[in-house]
Amino acid sequence: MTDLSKNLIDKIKEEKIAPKARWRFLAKDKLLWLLFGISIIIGGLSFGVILYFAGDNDLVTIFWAKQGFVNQLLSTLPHIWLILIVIISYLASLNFSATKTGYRLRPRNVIALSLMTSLIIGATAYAFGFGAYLDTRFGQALPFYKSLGERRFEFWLQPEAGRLAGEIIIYKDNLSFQLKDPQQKTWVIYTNQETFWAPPIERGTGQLVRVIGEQTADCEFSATGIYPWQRANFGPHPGSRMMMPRHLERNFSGNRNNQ
Amino acid sequence: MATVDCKQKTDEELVAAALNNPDFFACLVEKYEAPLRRYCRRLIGYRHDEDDILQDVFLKCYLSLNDFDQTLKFSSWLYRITHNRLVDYLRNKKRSEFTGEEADKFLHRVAADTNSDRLAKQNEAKLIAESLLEKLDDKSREILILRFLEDKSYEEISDILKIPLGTVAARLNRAKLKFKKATLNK
Repeated sequence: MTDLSKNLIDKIKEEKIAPKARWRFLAKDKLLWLLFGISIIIGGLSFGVILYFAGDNDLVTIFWAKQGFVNQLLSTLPHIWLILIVIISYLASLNFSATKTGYRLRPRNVIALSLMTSLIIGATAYAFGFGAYLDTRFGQALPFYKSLGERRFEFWLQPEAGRLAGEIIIYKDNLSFQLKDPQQKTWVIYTNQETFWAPPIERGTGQLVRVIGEQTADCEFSATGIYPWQRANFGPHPGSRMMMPRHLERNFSGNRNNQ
Repeated sequence: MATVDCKQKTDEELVAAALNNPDFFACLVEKYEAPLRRYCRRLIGYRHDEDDILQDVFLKCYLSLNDFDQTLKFSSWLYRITHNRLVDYLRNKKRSEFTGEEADKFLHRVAADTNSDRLAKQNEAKLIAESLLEKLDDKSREILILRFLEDKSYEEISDILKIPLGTVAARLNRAKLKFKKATLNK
């Protein structure tokens, strides 16, 4: 027996040193896997909100924005969620790498894997309306957070830029109707035969609409296109009612079920 | 101290036995003391506190026996613990030199692997290897030592350094090129 082994075994016996319990190592490894799983789920939910922004944002109408497509696009990006997904993916790769066998995969592969998994979870979350739900909840809970609904209203409440939104409160004929915007201001909207009424919008009171055109007087607007507040091509899905901020929704009294 | 028969047992069986009887751990210490001492010297050079470092390594190993992953070779796991201990050690202290014998062996193995005939024919092998390896960064140095002096496979290096196989290959390739470039510039 060598001096080193003799000294070591003597020390172990004299000081009654024992191997650490197996459960401690198992618990550490399970905790790392749990954190990895939580990261993936949070990443998935972030993706759900990002998909909601991408899918339900007025990307086409951004072209009409006077401040330029790039600026408007950048201003409508869900920055918080994009930053969150980057941080979460990084944390997920750290957690994965710290597991017993996690080092065998390259970090970039782990990040790609976690992003893919998050994307699948996010698509599912979006399909069930959870992206919209989260976005609205965050908008209500965090003062600095602007939900997509609030962003849309800000975007569409710029009559001087040719955009207006609100509820049709009086519909008389094909030449004009009255619209109340979320700030309780009543507008007379003039239409003509060339005005485009986007399906599935119905001409009548209680409809929430977006109007494209030109402001002609203080409370008058000449419309070239009228679109439903809820984008028709995506259709109403669970959670879509959340698109309107609560404080703005209170300003309306009409029936929203036909959006 | 009780004596135990450990000649017929594999490392994994010794680990299992050592969990109940530390005398079996002495078998593992005796088996790996010399290779680990050599590895220490290769990585950090001769140290007066070499025995303390090795005792720390084996004690850490003993305490973590329940963490030993049976899918790994025990030697890879033990080398990993040693490597981590040496990295900690190096954080505070500078490396010292190779021995002449070590340097000569290292030089000829890298020369063969990089087809550097000029290098293999060098008469001042020791001086070259010493000065060149001292110039290399720690990552290059450690991977060259594991591959060419410790004769570890890519898989074992992956397990010891806790890096993916692809990274082992890439890092080793870079280290060889750095070493070759350094020899050509000599």
